[in-house]
Amino acid sequence: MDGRFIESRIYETPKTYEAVKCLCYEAKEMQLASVQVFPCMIGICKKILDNTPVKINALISYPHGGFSIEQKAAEAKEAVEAGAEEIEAVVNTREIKSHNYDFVLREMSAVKKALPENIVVKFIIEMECLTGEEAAETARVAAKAGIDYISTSTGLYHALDSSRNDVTLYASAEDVKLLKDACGGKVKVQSVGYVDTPELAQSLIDAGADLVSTEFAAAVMGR
Amino acid sequence: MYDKEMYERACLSPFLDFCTNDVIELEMRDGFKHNVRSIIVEAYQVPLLKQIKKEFPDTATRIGMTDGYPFGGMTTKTKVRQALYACDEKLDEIDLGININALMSNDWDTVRDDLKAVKDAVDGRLNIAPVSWLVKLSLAQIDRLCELYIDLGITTLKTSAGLHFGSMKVDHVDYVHRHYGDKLDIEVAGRCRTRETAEAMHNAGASYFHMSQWRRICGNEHDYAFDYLSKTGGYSEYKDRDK
Repeated sequence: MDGRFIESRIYETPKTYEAVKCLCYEAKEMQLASVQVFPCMIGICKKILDNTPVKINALISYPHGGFSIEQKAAEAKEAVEAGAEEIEAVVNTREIKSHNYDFVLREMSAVKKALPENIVVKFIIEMECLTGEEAAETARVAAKAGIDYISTSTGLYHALDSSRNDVTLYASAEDVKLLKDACGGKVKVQSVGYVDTPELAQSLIDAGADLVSTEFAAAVMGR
Repeated sequence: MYDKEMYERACLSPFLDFCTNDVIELEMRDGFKHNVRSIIVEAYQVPLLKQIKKEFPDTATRIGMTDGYPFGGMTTKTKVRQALYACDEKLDEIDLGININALMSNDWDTVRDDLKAVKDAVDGRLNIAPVSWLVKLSLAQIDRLCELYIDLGITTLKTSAGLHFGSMKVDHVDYVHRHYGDKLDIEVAGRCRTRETAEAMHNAGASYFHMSQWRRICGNEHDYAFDYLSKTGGYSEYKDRDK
């Protein structure tokens, strides 16, 4: 597995500083593309990842994306000031579910405009909640807004089967293809979620994912 | 407990990702109709919540917003900015995500500085309910956190983030109430999914209940639910992994 296609992520905060440091050292050692962390962790990451190719990607308005447009742009700016080289904001999914795509366009555009051009801007669109058409339309909006990546999920949710057992929602090649087709190659696609094997990661890349973000980076890298 | 009493102890948060705007408006409006204890929304929903509140001029329902919810992973600067917005909007309270990453690392100075910055910024203009992740903490950590709240003048403890981050137990409530109940109101969050559990927690010292299942638990009605497999939502019978 080529580490340049893999991002290592911490998607919840009840972790120790040592867990954050471990994430960074692993990413550095495995030559991964980036680490995805919360803004409060940027300082720890910088000490380890400064002067390395591994980028620091900060989660913005995570996980519900419930900031106003202005607040989301402000938090993104603050994360960049703290040392983030990429930001990954959660889109306002409720506005997508309400088919208010103008709001989504304004939100994506405002965050992009608030940041220096060299900062990579990603938006999570929480495909678990969206129909195919809602996801496709959001991808088209993302292309119009000129953002760099759309991410498929926060990776937080699970479903229940008919016996009321938890069902893990795996990242899927179908989701990646849907977004790729919809945005016509104008926006990169990041597949996020429960990716725990090299085979699954490779299938996502084969489907067109430009990056796979996972909390199981070492397993995906075959370590 | 009568239904009316249960409604008056219910805290609503109609902001999950799968909700459409019409569902969000309905949840807010019905919350005011039932005189729930509070309606807590995400920051972008504050104008809508205030607009709907005007339809209920005599309401006792408190309004508030989240700040750093649930993970508390934002910078202190961001949390302070959001808290000041809540003050400007004259909200009654914020649900504040504490720096749990620092707490899990026993970096208590950072936990304290983060909280104190927000407390100082709001300067008594609204109530702060810190999201306390009790399900993840040792009793020693819970003690120290409660003492920190009291020292900073915080008077409410929200037990957990809710969602699916672990189930609160009656024992958690009992422990906090026995040791700190004279100084901290206990707001339960974290998979309180039955009336029996809510009543047991109330008897153990809980004051309020943050719950997604408020219609069912308070009045035996259907709540809004979303099926991630079919990607459809609606008001329907309760389905959960808790049988």
